[in-house]
Amino acid sequence: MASAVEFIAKTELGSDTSSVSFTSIPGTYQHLQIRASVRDTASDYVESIYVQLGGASDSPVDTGNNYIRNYIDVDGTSETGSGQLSNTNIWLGKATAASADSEKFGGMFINILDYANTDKQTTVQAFLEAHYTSGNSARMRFTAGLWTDLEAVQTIKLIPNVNFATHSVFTLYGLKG
Amino acid sequence: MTFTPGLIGAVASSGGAPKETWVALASTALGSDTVGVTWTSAGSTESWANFQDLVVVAYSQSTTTANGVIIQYNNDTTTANYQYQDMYTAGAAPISAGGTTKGLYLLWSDKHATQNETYAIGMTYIYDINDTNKWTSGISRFADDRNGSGYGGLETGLWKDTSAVSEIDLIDWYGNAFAAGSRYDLYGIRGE
Repeated sequence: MASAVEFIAKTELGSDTSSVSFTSIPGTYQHLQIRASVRDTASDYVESIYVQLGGASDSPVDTGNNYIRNYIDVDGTSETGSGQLSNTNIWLGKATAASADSEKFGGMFINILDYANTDKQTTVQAFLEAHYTSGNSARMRFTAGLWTDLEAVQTIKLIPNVNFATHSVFTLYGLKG
Repeated sequence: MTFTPGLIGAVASSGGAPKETWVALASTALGSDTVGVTWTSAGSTESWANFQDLVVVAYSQSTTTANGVIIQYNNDTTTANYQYQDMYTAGAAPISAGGTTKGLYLLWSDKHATQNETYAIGMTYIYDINDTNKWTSGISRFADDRNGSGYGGLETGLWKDTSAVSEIDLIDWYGNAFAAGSRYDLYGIRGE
């Protein structure tokens, strides 16, 4: 029996790495999901990470002001929300970074919905957690993003503030329709 | 670093038929009120060593009022080893908190004396369970209706231990029983 969720590709970092990309993604699935365990090497407790998408006409991702992002952040006992139009990426939030305990990596998932449908701009949902101080502080972000382009997504690029840390792992799955 | 799926797929297919990516590892459906649910790698349909992530899905009701289901790993009951951050709404503005705790909340649930058909739902992703360089992190999403009021929320949790996860204990916050009719399922997600 065919699997409803199929593994497509995985990147597990053996060294600090400036970005992670999945390329030549086939258009044969209904949705895509990235699951990741992630950490940034920036000299802070948390630092920002981003995603960009690309279609056939991009080389390899769209770096123009073609992204919309809205999000809610939770940090300790406060919640804040914001949104911006005309960005060069979708801001996924802040990942655990170098000042945090070395064993701390945050979980993340990114859903890219109906990514091959050329009648729709591409919607993105993401959730990122970051456990950061030597104590118990943590933060999380839930993101709604939009790539205002009708091309089928063929490339996904994940971008850290400095580098993704060794042992970070990113796995791409395809969900059948 | 760039991965091209076509190349990875060619390598993967050389070893035979593709493996199921999501695999049902264990399921517990309660026929009577029950205190706690335990799953182990050894007692599952396949060893957890073969999976990158785990997913717990629950459909749960408490036998006491306004309670919750928490996840503990490897029979570790030490509160100092778990930290959390949550955000939830209960029919009003969101509330958030963080700190140390007994475990990662899978869901919050109520006892439904007048609406026994209503159960709370929760889903938890547990990441990279076999990487012994990391503490174990998890993300939960949950909801529970209470006849118009109720909860909806998110929680992240960290288990400060680098051991591979080989046991999951689902317990009521106060040690009480889960109600008959509750159901708990465990899935493995392959990273290959």
